[in-house]
Amino acid sequence: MNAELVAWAAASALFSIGTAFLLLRRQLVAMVVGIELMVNAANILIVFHAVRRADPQGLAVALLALAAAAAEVVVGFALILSMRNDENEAPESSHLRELSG
Amino acid sequence: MLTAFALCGGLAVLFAAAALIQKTLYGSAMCLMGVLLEVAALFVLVGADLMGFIQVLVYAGAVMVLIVIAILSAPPNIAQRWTASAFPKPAAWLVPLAVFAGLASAGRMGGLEAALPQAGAHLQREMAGLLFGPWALAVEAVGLLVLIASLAVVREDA
Repeated sequence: MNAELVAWAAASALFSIGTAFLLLRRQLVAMVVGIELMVNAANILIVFHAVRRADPQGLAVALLALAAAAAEVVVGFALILSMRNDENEAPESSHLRELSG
Repeated sequence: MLTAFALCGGLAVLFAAAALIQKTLYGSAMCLMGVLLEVAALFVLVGADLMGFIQVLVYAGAVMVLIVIAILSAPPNIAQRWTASAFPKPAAWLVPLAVFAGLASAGRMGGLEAALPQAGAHLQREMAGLLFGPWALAVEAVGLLVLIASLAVVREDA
């Protein structure tokens, strides 16, 4: 067992579980949680290989990806909170059927 | 060193699997926090201390607060359903204990210098030089993106 194998195994497992979140859970909050898992899985590999190759560009990309993912979460939750019109209904993906601009 | 790395990776996957099988969103969110902290420990172990620090600040801190607020801001009947913990209380103590074990192993055992000989502070200095030098435009673009994202939260009637 070496570090690269562990990094790949952890990242692929996290990415798979994130995908399962997107496919199996209908609540929008849970879907955002799944996306976060996938982003983190990608970040693990980016950081691991950046450090391994002593490549500062990889670390910089991971940092920018982290900031962009945080912004994506903010927009996601803003959408989730704004779509909750009916007081008795939870925000679920099946409620999103149309786009309006 | 490798054992600590494998322990943190395994715990991250365990927490992610626990998040998936949780019946309540609140339980999923708490398990996600475990994943994010273990990923931070992984970053520290490979020698990217700054990334681990930012991971704790941004993800395990700010994003988790946002997720919990979104869960709790649901209508009362739904919020109650989402926050009723599916964990038995004694088992719930295992979550912070496992997170602590992962983080303590990261702090105690240090980086994976043997496996990753080039890890070190100089890499993070070079990254900072890159971000504030040739990549400044990308940093500005991401900053603008975060600003636009924060504007998205403002309601139309505010």
